Amino acid sequence: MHELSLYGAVPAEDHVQILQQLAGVTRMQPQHVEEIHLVFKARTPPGLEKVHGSGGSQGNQQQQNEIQRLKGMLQSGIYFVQLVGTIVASQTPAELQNGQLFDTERNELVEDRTQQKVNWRFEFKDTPESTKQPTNTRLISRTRFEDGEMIAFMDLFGFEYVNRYYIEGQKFYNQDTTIFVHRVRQLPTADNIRDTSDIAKIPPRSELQLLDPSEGFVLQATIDIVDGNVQELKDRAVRQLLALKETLKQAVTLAPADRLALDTRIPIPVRRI
Amino acid sequence: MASFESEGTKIETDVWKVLDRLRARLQLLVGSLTAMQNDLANPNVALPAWPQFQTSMNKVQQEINQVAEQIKQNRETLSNMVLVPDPKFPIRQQHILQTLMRTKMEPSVEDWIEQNLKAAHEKTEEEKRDWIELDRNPLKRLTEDDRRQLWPWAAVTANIKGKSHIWGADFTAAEKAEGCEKIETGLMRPLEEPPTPDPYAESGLDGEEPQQYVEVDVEGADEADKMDLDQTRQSGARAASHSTLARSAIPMENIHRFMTKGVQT
Repeated sequence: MHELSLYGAVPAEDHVQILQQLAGVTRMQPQHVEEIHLVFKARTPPGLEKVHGSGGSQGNQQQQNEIQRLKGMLQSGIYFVQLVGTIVASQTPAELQNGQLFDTERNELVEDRTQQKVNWRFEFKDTPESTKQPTNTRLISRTRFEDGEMIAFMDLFGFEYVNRYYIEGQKFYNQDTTIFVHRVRQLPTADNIRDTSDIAKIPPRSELQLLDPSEGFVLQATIDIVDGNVQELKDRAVRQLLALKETLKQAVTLAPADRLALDTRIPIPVRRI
Repeated sequence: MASFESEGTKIETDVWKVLDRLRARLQLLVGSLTAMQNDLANPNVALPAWPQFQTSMNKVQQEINQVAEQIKQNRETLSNMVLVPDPKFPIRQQHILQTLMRTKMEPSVEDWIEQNLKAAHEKTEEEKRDWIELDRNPLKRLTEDDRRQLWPWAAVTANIKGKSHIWGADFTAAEKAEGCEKIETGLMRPLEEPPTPDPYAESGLDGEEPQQYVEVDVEGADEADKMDLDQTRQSGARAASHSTLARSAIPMENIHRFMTKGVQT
């Protein structure tokens, strides 16, 4: 699956206005979204740094190629991956509409963690393609996780837990495009690593510190293409995103993000002998 | 005209000058017309873009006007002039001589002039009738187009007019002058603006929000209003990005880095 994205910054004071404009553009009410992201990093294969760099002038060509191949094999799986948990209401009481976490009577978000559950998914995102394109294009893969000890499983799978964070925001859908206006809050480190994925132990949202002190949001417009190798689908998605960019021109500037900021590769420490 | 020169008759120098200037002007005009004809008549080349065509059209018109102006200025000199053919005029170009010797317009040109004069006359008559009609019944000629133009104008004008008054009072000036104690407006308490809510709690968008009026940016609205417009960020993305910068928010790259790698760099 491929993901095509455009990003834009939404200052906090513009947030409500942007939501209203988006509601108008997409002809739908915003869908509230809460997510927990657990970031994992693949373990570096032991001894990788001992493999010589290809810089030396000595050694014949064949040996060089061999080293290159070995390095490529060892490095190919070394990425940051994430477990993404979407927080939803576990049951749908009368006052909770459409399983949303929005209490219409009190006009506020339901924060009772006991009434919530998490749908987990494993998410791999490649570094965006380096070709010059009007959008960020990257290979992605999502796998649903039903149940179990997430952290332990990932650990045995060869992924080390790095950090976690919390995302709040609103989603809109327009044709094939998902518009996600979101911001990041930092989550405290869990006392026990097994509690990391337990939402019952997460403090209420108001106690979570925002990553961006200006309280700004990020607007992400995304189209997922099931088969990203079909050029026609890709072109159509790019056209649609650019049309949206044009529509929202007055409200927010959408642009591809810095490719290296979205880089999921893990830097390999180079040791020179 | 070469015939004048070779004849050696005493044409006064100022008459000479007049003719020379006129010839220069006419040559320019002919040049422009030829260029335009080439642009339009050449089937191998695409038609010129309309702004370009309009430019050359304007040029031609300007040159025609200049020629007409010169003729008008020197009407007396030119109409008093008599053309005498020179015996040395080459006989092979007899048709040119005949054209030059004409004292009347060519029949086709005469028809053409008559036709246009008639059309112009009719047009004036028609307009006169229209104006009389319009005077009698102004609404009759308000077409759909006119109405479409009228409404935006009306909104803007109403806005300007409205801004010139001081609003915010509960009673009109006339009511106040007469004493407003007994007037019942249904208002039992002074009106207050609702407090600005927490933007995040407001995200429900349940349609109960007070309608936000879109201000119309009009020339003539005073400076203070324009400042207001800027602050409410009607001017869009530029202002939005500007305010983000001003508040020294985290650049989006860093947010993305954190979201990808889980650590702040």
